[in-house]
Amino acid sequence: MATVKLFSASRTARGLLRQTLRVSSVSQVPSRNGWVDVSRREAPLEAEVITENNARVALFSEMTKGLMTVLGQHFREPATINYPFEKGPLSPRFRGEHALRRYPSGEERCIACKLCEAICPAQAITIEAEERADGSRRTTRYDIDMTKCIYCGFCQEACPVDAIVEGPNFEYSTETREELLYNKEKLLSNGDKWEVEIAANIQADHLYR
Amino acid sequence: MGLGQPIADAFKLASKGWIIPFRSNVMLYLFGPFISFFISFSMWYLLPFESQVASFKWAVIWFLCLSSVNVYGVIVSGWASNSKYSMLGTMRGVAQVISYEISMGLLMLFPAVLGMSFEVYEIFSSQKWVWIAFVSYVALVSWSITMLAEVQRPPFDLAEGESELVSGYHVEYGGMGFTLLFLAEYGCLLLVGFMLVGLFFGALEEFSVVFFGLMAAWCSVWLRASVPRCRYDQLMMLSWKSLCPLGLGSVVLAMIMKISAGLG
Repeated sequence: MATVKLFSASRTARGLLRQTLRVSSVSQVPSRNGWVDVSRREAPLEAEVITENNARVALFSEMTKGLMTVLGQHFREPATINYPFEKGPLSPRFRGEHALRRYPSGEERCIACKLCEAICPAQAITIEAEERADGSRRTTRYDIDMTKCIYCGFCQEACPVDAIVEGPNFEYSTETREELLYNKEKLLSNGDKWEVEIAANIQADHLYR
Repeated sequence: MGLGQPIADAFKLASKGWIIPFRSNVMLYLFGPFISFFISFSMWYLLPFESQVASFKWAVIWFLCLSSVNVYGVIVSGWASNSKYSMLGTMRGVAQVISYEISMGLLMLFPAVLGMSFEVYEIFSSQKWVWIAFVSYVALVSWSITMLAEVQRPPFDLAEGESELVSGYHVEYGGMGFTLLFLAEYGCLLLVGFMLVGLFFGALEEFSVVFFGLMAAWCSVWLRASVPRCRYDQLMMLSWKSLCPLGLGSVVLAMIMKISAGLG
């Protein structure tokens, strides 16, 4: 009982406090006159308006408008495309299948900095690195689990050398799950396969990066 | 073009097997589609053609009777399937058809009174000088709406509300049972189109009946593509508060016209 009392006492106190505060602040709050009445207006009781409304209902003018829209659409070219033969437009920023790129010399770009591995929110990337015979740092293992990947594009944002990118390819469905666990070899071959498109996309978008 | 599609569909549906739902009423389950189909196509008997030899004296009554009995196809097939969805679809469908039957009967009396006959051929041929559609626009529109609801076409297809009832009273049917129910529905639709053309536009030649009747049926497909399904209370309100009074008014109007014509 005592707790209830205390509780309600605090409430009334807060109410009182708010009232006293409001008195002081009321002069600063601008009066609200920008409101809009959204309720439906009653049509004025004039013969002209009534006749017009009744005619509109009786002749189904709204319905006819809708029907005519549908009929007009019927004779227009359909918006659907004949998918495997026709494809919709893709943005240069489209994030599809991953690829590891190479320099024009044929040297792979990836320097195994592991920034992509670190930033990957789905932890889909696994990298192991070693020093190569010529002293440069390269990956020995670069795996992406495409079933984990959420295609956020953080890996290509993180990459300092534009090595890992998400290309324009979106048709890489497989019949087994294992085929979607990409290794370095697969990613590099993707890079070789899609280099022209990827380079064009990066070129198209470089001003905005 | 896709013209072969309906034929392929018909073969596919006919070649499909039957599934009898668990604990359903087997006899009625199998019998329901046949009732629907049989009644729907018995109604075609009243359709008059100029070349038709047989003339049926009580065609209007025949139509009213059979369209009332047609509900039993829905009731039986929905109830016998032992499924919640078909039961709900059945209840909706039956309530809808029974409600709209009243205004249908009243509105059908309008051309019947004007033609002074229950014989459809005479009603049709009584419009040689002026179409009944010109006599009363209201009757034409109310009749079209009523018949749209009577054959449960969109926007009045509450009985098969896909979004909530999967597909209404024929959820549990596949193969030939579904085909029969479907044929019954579309048979009714086409008949309604032909009736509209005959009752209100006095079409009698084979060509104009078929052509303009198909146009009317096409309009219902057009409406289906354009208009969303209405709410159930709207459906009932339209029937009882709008179409019934309009139907009664039409009958009174027809009688007044007939009497004043007799006086003058």
